[in-house]
Amino acid sequence: MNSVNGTATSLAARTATTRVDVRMYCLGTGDCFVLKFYAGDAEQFTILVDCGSCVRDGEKLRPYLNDLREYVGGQIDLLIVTHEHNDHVNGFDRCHNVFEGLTIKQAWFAWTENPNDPTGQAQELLNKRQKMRVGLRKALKQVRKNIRQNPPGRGRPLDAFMSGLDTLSFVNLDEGNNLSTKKKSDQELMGMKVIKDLLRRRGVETRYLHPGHSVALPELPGVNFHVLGPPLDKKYIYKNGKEGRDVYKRHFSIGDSLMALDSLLELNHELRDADLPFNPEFVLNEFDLDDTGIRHAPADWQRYLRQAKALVDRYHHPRCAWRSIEDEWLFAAGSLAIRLNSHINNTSLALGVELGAGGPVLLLPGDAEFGSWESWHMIEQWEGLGAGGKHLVEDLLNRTVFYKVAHHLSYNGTPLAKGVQMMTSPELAVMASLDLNRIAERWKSTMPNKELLAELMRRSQGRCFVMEDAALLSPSSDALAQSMPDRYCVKTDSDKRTLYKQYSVVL
Amino acid sequence: MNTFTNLHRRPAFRKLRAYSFDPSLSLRMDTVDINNLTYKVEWEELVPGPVGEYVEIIDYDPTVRRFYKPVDLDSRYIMAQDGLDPSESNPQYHQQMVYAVVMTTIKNFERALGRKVLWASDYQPNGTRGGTFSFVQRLRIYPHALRDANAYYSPPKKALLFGYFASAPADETTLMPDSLVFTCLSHDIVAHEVTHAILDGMHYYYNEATNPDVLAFHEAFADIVALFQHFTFPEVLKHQIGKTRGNLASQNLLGELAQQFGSAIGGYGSLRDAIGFYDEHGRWQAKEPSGDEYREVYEPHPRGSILVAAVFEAFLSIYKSRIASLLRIASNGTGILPQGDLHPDLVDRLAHEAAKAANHVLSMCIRALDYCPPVDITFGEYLRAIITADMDLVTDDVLDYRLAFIDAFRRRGIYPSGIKTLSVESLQHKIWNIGKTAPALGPGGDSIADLWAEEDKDDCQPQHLRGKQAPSPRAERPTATESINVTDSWFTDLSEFLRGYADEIKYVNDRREIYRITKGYIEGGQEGGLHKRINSHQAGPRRFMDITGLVFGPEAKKLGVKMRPKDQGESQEASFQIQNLRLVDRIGPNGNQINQVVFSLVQRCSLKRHQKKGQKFKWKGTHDPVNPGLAAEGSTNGTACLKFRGGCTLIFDLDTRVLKYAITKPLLDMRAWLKSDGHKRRSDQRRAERQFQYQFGAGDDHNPFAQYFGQQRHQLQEPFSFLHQH
Repeated sequence: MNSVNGTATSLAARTATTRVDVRMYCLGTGDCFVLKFYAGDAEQFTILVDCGSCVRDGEKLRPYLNDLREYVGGQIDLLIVTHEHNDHVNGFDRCHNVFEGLTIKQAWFAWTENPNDPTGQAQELLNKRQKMRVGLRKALKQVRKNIRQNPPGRGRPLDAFMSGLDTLSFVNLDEGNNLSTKKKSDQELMGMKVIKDLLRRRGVETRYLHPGHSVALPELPGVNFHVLGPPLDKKYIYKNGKEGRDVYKRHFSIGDSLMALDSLLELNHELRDADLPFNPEFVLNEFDLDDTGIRHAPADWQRYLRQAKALVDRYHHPRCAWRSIEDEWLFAAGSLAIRLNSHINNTSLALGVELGAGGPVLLLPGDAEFGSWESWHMIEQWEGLGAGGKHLVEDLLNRTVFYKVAHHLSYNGTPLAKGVQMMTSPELAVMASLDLNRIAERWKSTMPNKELLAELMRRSQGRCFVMEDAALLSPSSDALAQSMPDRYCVKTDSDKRTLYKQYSVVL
Repeated sequence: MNTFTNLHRRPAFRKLRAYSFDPSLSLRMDTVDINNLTYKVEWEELVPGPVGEYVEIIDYDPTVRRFYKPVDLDSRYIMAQDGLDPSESNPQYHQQMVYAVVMTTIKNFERALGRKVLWASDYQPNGTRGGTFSFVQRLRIYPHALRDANAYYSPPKKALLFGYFASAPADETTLMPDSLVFTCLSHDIVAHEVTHAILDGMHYYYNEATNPDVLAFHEAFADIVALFQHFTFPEVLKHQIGKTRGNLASQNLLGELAQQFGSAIGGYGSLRDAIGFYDEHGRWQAKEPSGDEYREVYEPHPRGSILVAAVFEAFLSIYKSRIASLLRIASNGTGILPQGDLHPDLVDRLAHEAAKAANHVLSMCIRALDYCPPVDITFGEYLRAIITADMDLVTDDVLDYRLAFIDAFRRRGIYPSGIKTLSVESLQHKIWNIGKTAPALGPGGDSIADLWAEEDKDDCQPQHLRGKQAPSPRAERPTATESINVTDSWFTDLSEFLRGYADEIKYVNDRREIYRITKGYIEGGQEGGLHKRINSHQAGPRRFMDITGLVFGPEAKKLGVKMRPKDQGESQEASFQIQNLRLVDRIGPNGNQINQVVFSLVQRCSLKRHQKKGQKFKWKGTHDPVNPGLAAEGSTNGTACLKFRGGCTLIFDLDTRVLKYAITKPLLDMRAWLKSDGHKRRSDQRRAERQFQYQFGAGDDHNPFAQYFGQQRHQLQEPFSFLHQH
C-alpha cells in the first residue's frame, strides 16, 4: 500500500488517501452513508450516499441529520443518489431545510435518471415506471375499497395481501410517506424531485454515469470510481436469478409483460372493447338479459337467454357471495409491485471505489439485485483488465475490503457466485442498513436472509455491522467496537439512540 | 308405457373436441394430429355454462367485469360436430375444453375409487360454537378469472380459477411473443387443478402444511394424475411410438413425452424436470435419482417432483416388463427390430400396453388415498398406502407392480419411518383384525409395542417391554385382557353398524343423498351415530387409544384437546372430528372383492412449549386461546404455541366384521404411553417440535410473492394460489 511517513516524495504520495471513514447513519432501515477520505490527518473529500428511511415520521430523522450537518461541516463534495426508492431518498424531502443549508459541490446519478438521455432508453424506463406506479396506486385504492366492502367473517386473504402491498407502496410510491407537501406525483418520488430541483436551482454540476466508465476526481489522486451499474441493456434490469445457483434460493421471472396492468389502469373507467381478450360478440350483454331484452329476442334464443340470465344471477346471488372472485385478480398487483420494486433496485448506481491502482476497493452497489450484478461481469471494455487477466469486476470484488450490503440483507440483494463468493479479501468488512425495529412491515419476513448473513459473517470474520443487530448477531457487532477501537465506533445520543456506526478503512 | 321409450335411449357419451395438450402443439406439423382429440365424456344433462351434476362453469372475467356467453353444449349445431371447433379466440370453446377435461378426470377418479366424487364441504363458522358443514354440489369453475400466469384451486371458495396472460416465451418459434396464453386450454393445468379439488374433498387437512411433504404431496399427486391421464389416450401414444422406428429403448420416449407434456406452457412442467434432461447432443436422458434429494429439497415444487419421478419410474418398469414379450416376438428373439416403420399392429399393441400400464398406475395412486392418514402425510406413508391398497385388491402380483414402486421410492431415499425392512410385507400396514369374529393372528404377529418401538431407534424402550410380554396392569383399571375383550365386541358392533351404512349407501347414486346419509350416520339421529358410538366407548378406551393414538375420556383435557359437555350430566368428553366416511367397494383382477368401510378421526390440541432452565423443553396442552407461533416476538426461547393434530384412518372389513387397518398419526407419544401401560399421556413431542420448526423455524421461504403477500405457512387460506405464483 501507499505509505505516508511524512517524508513524502511526490505530490501524489503526499495526498494519497490513507483512510476512509464510512459512517452509517442509523435512521431506520434505509441508506444514509457519509464517506470521509483522509490523507494522513488531512480531510480530503466528503461523500454523501443517499438519505432515506422506512420510518414514516419525518421529524424522527432530524437528530441524525443535524449530526450529519455538523459532521460534514456544511459541505458535501459529492452527493450520490443511487436509486429512486423512499428508503434511499425520502430524507431529502422530509428534511429539505437541512439540505438547503448544505453546500453541495457535485452530484452523481445513474444514467437511468437522465431526463435528456441521448439514447432515449432512460425516458422509456421512466415512462414504464410511471405507468406501473399509476397501476399500483389504482390497485391499492381498489384493494382498500374491496376490504371495506367485504363482509367480515369469511376468510380475508386480502388483509394479509394489503400489508404486503402497503410495504411495497411505501417504498415505491409516496403512499404513507409524510410528505413536505400534499401534492403527490406519479412522475417521481417527492424525495427525488426535491433533491433534483435543489441541484438544478443551484446549478450544481450533475453527472449521469454509465457502466464501464471510470471516473477520477482531482481532489482524490489515485482513487478511481468504477461505474458497475445500472446495466445499459434493459434485459438485465428486468432480470432475476435462478434458484440455488445464482442467488440464495428461488426467484421469479419479472421479464414478461404484465397484462393485469392494463386492467388496473382501466379501473374506474368505462372499458374499451380493445382491452377484452375476445371479440366483443362473445361478451354477454346484460341489457339483453332483462325481461324486455329477452322478450324482444328471436324466439329460438329466448330459452338460451333465460338460462344465461340464471347463470349470471347465480354469480351475483348474495347467498353465493362467498364464491365470487372480485378480489382474486387484484393479487396481480402484487406481482406488479414486486416487479416495479426489482426494476428500480436494478437501476441503482453501483460503484466500485478503488483506492489506488491495484489497491483495496469499497463496493457501493445501492440496492442492485441479481440482474444488475450479472451485467457488471459482462462489461466488455473491462474484459481482461483485472489482475491475472481476470475481468476487472471480478478483480474488484476480490479486492473489496468494504461492502455496503445491497438491499438490506435481503435474499436477492447479493448473488452467490457472481457476488459474495468473489469477495475473498481477508480484510473484508460489511455494513448493512437493516433495522428490524424500524422497518416496513413485510420486510421483516424477507430480511435478513439468514444464509446470506451467515456467509457474510464468515467471510468478514465477524466484521459485519448491521444498523440494529441485537436480534441478529450474537455477540452484537457493537461488542466488536471494544476490540478494535481505532477501526469501529458507535455513537449514541443523550436519548440512548444510536446515531451512527462508523468503520474505518485504513490503508 | 310409451312404445317409443326404447328408441329414446340416452347416449352413453357426449363427444367433445379438446386439445390433448395445449394450443401451442396445434401449431406444429408433427403434433397437430395428436393434439386435437375427441374426448368421450359420460353423458349428463347440461344447461348453458356448462352446468352439470359436478361442476358449474361461470365465465365471468372480473378484470373487465364482463360475462362471456356460456356455451350451450346441447345446441344441435354444436352436438352435430362433436362440440365446437378448437379455437383460442372463442371463449365458448374454452368452456367446452375445461368441461371435457374436468369430467374426464372426475370419471377416472370414480372408476378407481368405486364411488362418487364429493367436493369438500362448505364450512360456515358460527361464532364460538364451531361451525356448520354443508354440501357443495358443484365445483365452480372460472375459466378467465385472473390476468396472471397462474391457475389454482381455492379451498375456501371451492372454485377453480384460471388465468390468462401475455406470453413471453422462451422459444419464440412456438409461441408468438405477447400473444395471449390461456391456462384453461392446457389439459395438464386443468387436470392438475381439478385434482387438487378432488383431493381436498377426500383429505381436508392436506392443505395444512405441517411438514415439508404435505403441500409437496398435493402438488405431486395433482401432477401424477395429469401426467398419467395423458397416457391413457392411446391415440397420442400410437403416434409417438410409431415415430421411434427401431429404437427398442422406447421407455426413453415415454419419459421424454411425459416431460414435454408439461413444458408446453412454461412453468407447469417444472414438476417433471426430475424425470430427465437433454444431454449435449440434444438427446433426452432419464435422470439418475439421487438418494439425497429427499433429505435436502424442501420447497413444495422441487420436493413434489421427487415423488412424480418415483411414480413415473415405477410406471416405466411396469411398462418394460409388459412389453418384453412383444418385443421378442417382433424381433424374432434378436431384440433388434427390422429397419423402417414399425408394423402398425405392433404400434397398436405397444400403445395399448402403455395405456394399460398407465391406467393401472393411476388407479393404484388414486386408490391409495383411502389408506392414508388424515393429517400430516409423508411420502413414505403414501408408499405404504399404495402397497397396502394394492395388496388388498390384487392378491397375486405377477407382474411385480409393487416391487416396481418400492424400488423407485428406495432409489430416491424415500423410506417410511417405523418399519424394519423395506419389503412388500413390511410396507403393508399392520393388519389388526380386531373383532369377535376375527381370524386368529398367526404366530409372530406384531404386538402394539413393537409397532412403535422402531419409530426412533436412538431412544428405544427397554428390551423386556418389547415383544409379547405384556406390562403388569394396575388394579384400578380394567386389565389388558378385559379391555381387549370389551373392545373386540365393541368393534364387532361398530362393524355391524357400518354394514348398515354400506347397505344403505350401496345403490344410492344421487350425490346429495349420499352426503345426507353419510352425515346422518356420522352425527346420528335417535340411536346415535358414529360420533356418539365412539364417545360412548368408555369401557375400553385404553385399547382404542392404543389403536388410534388419539385421546378420549376426560383426561384428554390435559393434553390441550378441546372438551365438550356430554349430552347428559356434568362430565365432559374430548372433541374429535369424523371425516370422510366412505364405502370402498372394489373388485380385483382375480375376482376377489373388497368390501370395506373407511373413515378418519381427527383430533386437535393446542400446545405450549415450556422450558425450564437447563432442561429439555416440553410441549404441554393448554386451553388458553393461543395464536400459533412465538408468543414473544424475537425471543428465541420464549413461549411457543402450536395447533397440533393427530388422526387415524380406520378401515373396517365388512365381510369378517373386524377392524382391519388403523393407519394413524398419533396425537399421543405412543412409546411413553405404551411403556407406562397407558398412564403417561403426553402429546407426541418429536412430531410437535418438528412441525413447529417447519412452520415457524429458520427455514426461509424464498418465494417473494409469498413473503410479501402470504400469511404464515400454517394459516394459508389459499395455499395453491401462492404455490403457483411465479
